[in-house]
Amino acid sequence: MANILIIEDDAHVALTVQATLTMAGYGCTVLPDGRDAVPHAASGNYDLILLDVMLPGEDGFTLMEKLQGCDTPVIFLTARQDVLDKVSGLRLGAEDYIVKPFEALELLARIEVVLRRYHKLSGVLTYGDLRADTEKHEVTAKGVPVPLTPKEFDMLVFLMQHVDVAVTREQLLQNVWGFNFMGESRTVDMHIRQLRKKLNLSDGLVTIPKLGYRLESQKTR
Amino acid sequence: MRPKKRWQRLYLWQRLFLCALAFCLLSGIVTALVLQSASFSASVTREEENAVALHGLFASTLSATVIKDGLPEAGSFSAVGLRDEEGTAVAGELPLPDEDVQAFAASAAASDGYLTRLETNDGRTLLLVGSSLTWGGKRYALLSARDVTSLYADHRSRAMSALRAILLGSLLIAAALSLLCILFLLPLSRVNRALKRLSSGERDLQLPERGGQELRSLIANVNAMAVATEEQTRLLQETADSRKRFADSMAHEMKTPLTSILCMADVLRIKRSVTDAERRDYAGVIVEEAKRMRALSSKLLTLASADGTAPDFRDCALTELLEEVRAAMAPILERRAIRLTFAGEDVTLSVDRQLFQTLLINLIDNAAKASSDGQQVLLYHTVQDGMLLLAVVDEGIGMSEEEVRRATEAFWMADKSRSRKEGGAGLGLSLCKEIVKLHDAAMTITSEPGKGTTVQLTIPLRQKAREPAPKTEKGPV
Repeated sequence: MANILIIEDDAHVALTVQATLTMAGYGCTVLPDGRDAVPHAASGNYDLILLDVMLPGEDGFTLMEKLQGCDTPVIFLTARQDVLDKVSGLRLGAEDYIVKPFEALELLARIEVVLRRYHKLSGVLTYGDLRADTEKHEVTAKGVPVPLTPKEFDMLVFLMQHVDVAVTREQLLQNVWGFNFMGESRTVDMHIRQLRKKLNLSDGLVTIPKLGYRLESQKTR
Repeated sequence: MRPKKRWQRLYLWQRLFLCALAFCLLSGIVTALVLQSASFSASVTREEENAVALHGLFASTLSATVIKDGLPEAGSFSAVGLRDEEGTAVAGELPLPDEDVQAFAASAAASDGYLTRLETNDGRTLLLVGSSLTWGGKRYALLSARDVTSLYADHRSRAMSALRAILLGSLLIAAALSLLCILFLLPLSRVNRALKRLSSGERDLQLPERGGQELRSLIANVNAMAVATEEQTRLLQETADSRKRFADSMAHEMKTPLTSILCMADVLRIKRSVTDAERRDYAGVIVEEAKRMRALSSKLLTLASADGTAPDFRDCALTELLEEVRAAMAPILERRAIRLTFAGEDVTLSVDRQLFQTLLINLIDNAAKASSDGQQVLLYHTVQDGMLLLAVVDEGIGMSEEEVRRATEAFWMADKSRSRKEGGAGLGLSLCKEIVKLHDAAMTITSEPGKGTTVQLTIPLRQKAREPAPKTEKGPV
């Protein structure tokens, strides 16, 4: 999986981000300030940098200018919500801008978007004998193609990206149908039922009461 | 009410024009009437006297033969006539209707003097003069008529030209007055425009003080108002800015712990399997960050209450107060092996015990945060001119000038990660500043990077008797 560099001065926030990323299977390194950031980024070991804006010494924006040459995508983390910040952050070449406080899954989703844009994530996801090719839009079970509707496919990919993570119906709605979709969570339930039937996932795709669904990894089953 | 409203809509110069016009016309006409009628009645009298004299001369030349031979030539009269006692014509023709003349002739024949009368006929005005004559026991009336039409025509034409002159003069005077009025009030329209600009938000507005005395004082007042308005706006802006800065900083300070709490709790919620070690670490972060928020909110509450409630001043012994402070600080100081030394004589001073202790604890806490383990914090005090001089001195990392300047700003921290680790929220010195203000005291900070910091307080020993502060209920900040 991808390697991510976290530059964050608050130890607890750094630990939190680290825990979130580790949960999703990313490798990560934390730097408490920007002093060693440039050599780290230039080493080419990292696919993405999460950069806090309020850092002791040099702030994130100044550091961003120095990191421009490293060709590694950067996402800003900050508590400042000003539009001006957002504009100046993105004009500097940052890929995205996450405003604190954020939820774990939101952080992961934004990271995945950026990594995919940079083709740092393989286009093929696997789960047991299931293979989902995001580029060809194709799913095979034991090598045999399974026909899925586009929404079913997007939903499967989202679940396969978050194996062992509980995903709420709202998150599925937001990520598969889009933020402005005013659908009901029953729509999600129907698609889940279809996925279970078509892909024989009645064991792997479990319902978590009062929360949502989770695609559980095979080894612990 | 309508005419009044229309009157009120008029400009001052228009009103002045109308008033001046009316006044000039009225006074001119009255004066002209009085003068003209006086001169006219004088000329009429003169004409009468003249006519009577001529009449007398004419009458004396007459004799009884006239009745038979007819009257002589009228001479200087337009006509002469002779009538008997009843007014019946005897000789001569008068260019007047007979019935008008008859009564006059009869009364003239009966009287002994001269009678005069004005008669108008066919657009001509005639002055009749009558006197009595006695011939052969019979009384007759001799009448003469002089044409005085020109006298009246003159009078009328003089009156008309006087009226024209008065009208013209009044118009001229009124126009001149209103022009002057416009001229004098010209600065007023400048003031008016300036006020309009001021109300539309223009700043730095100063008008030159020109015009009459009243206008100059008006302009001076407008200028003063502009300055005052600007000052008020600036103060409001400053207050709003500082509130916004405070709110921004507070939002930022709340968001950092919230990030850890929210994200960590989310991880714990959605992760499938959490090991014991992970659970301990993750939950530990949540607990600590929640504590940080608790500390922040209690500091905010203290700040809000120091800002809003009346202090409770009582006499306290300083050493006793200091020992309580030492006891409160002991756990932190012992952990860091920092020595706290007090120096100075005991003195009694009037302070709000709770707030004053908070003040000292904050200052010592700051000093401890800036110090390395094992260093010393010194608190010395002395009395001078009814004031207590108290200083908290540390040997810690110190601050630059810029940092000293910003030190009392809410949420500002010289070394963020370091003071966060110590549980700081960046509100300590803001709180101290408020407490110092409540005690009419002064606080100065001197510092040098690497050498340490000295915070000096100057507190009056006795608090001035003052009005009980109004109880202002303050909501949470």
